[in-house]
Amino acid sequence: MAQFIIKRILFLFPIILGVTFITFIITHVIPADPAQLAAGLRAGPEQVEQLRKNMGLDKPLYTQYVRYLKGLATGDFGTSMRTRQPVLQDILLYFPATAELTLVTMIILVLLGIPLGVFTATTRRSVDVVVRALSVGASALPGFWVALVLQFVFFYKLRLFPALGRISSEALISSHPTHFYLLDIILTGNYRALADVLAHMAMPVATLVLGRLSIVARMTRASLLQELQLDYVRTARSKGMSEARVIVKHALRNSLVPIVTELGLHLGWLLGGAVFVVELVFSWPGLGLYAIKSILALDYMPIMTTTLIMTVLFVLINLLVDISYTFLNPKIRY
Amino acid sequence: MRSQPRRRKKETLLIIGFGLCGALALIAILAPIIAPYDPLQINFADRLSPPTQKHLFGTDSLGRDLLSRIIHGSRISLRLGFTVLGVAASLGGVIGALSGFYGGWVDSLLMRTTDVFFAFPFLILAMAISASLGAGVNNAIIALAAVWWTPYARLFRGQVLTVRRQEYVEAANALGMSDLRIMLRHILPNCFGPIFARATTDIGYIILEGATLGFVGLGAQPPTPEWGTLISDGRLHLMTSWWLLIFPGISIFAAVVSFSILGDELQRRFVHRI
Repeated sequence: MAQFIIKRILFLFPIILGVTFITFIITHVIPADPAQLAAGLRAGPEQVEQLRKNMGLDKPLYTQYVRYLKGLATGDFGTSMRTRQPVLQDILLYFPATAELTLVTMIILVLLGIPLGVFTATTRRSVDVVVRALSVGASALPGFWVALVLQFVFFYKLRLFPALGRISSEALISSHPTHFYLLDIILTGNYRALADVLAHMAMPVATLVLGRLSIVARMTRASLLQELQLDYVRTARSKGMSEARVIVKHALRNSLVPIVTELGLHLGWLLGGAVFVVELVFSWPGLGLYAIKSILALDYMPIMTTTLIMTVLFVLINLLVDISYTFLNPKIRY
Repeated sequence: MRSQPRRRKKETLLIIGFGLCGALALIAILAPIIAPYDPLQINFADRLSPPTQKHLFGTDSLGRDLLSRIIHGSRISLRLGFTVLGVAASLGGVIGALSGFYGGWVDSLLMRTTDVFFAFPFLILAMAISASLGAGVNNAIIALAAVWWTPYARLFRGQVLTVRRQEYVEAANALGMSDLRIMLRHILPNCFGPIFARATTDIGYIILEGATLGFVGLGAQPPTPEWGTLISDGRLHLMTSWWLLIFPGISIFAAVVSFSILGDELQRRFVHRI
């Protein structure tokens, strides 16, 4: 098994290299002139040329690519034209917000989705039709639209939750050991800020969860139902085991493989773009908003780097899901 | 005779699916005729009017009739959906078919390339390409197609691998048929079923992603009445003018659901047949 893991990790490198190559090509097809953009409208032609030399844009594409790769290897991801900061610094600044949002969403998906799936598995068949309809419906709604509707209903009409941002200016958290606001609150004991942070998180998380909840429930239901058909379940039942125990102790555990795949896919989906749009609507100061702003400003270093990082994360998640199979189902060995 | 009522129930969804998609297509084709107003007609006197008899869906910040804009928006969405799908399925199809048919190093090379594209979180790639090419519907089409071909490459490859082992292919080969002819006449026609079903569902999702690109500012540009762009157009006024948010959103939803229903039913028929 260790061999399999090592092989998969080795496979990562050509894929990541391919990803850097494609990202580089995309961002260097940019018709706009990055040096001109960086220099600003008032810059004279000599200044633009000087900047072009400094940014290495006058060298052939091949050289630029090698320079970029060397930078990646040493942790130098370039500088953002928009924020004038090193891209690495920007990313470290904005990543925790996205990570926190994603993690909370995943936790709620698991806490709500799996029990929902178990519940619908143990009730009438007609429930399946409803859940299927809800799944199709939920995937047919654009994320940004759901976000806006939630904002309209819960902020504008009901004044229940704040519309934008991660925290109000009144409820500042004094120290940020982790930049994960929820963790920071627990670590510093600043519980007054807790309600504020949770209130800000409510709508973004709700948007993301609503998008996938019915799918998770459906997957759990299907997987569980399949498992419940098997012989050992009949044995357990005939031994007098309560239905609840049969489900939780035996069937659910063995049906975890497809559920974990599904969750891995959801995580990928979240990081792959869903989070971006939600961050845009709620002005959530995360990597997604940063990426979108960079994309709209044609700020190519951040674009390349955030794409690269999101992709690497995505690939790693898939790898972890594959590896977790061997733990969840000992029958699967590679 | 007893099984007849059950049969009718099975066909219902298919008919609904066809009906909805057909209606959407009709709306798009007949847009200039059925739209009550010119979608680009500015009229400050009527700006931000809620739904009334004069403007059934209300008006936007420039007084343009929302219903007309949504009707014309269907043209853009359908054009986007079908074009992206056509390009993506063709490109993916060629790559997948070649990969499955020849195997060996061709297969390895093409599949590794597909893997690299697959590694990309999809929306990021679409946004990056769209930004590089510049905003606008046509560039959005290219960006979406560049991202959407990968699952089709895998699908076609799988299908070709299955069909290629059939005896009639072996027979054709023994008869001296050229590779290309075997592929075109025997293999590909038998692959289409499941792929067609998936393609139908995908059109809906392509429209959805196109709307997202439009909303972010990368797809259709104002004053083009693409549904996502309509929502972002009205974003400043969304809180006070709820119709600017609700009606375009429902349109997107309706389009995606229509294609999903049809696609799901086709999937049931084609996949279960095999």
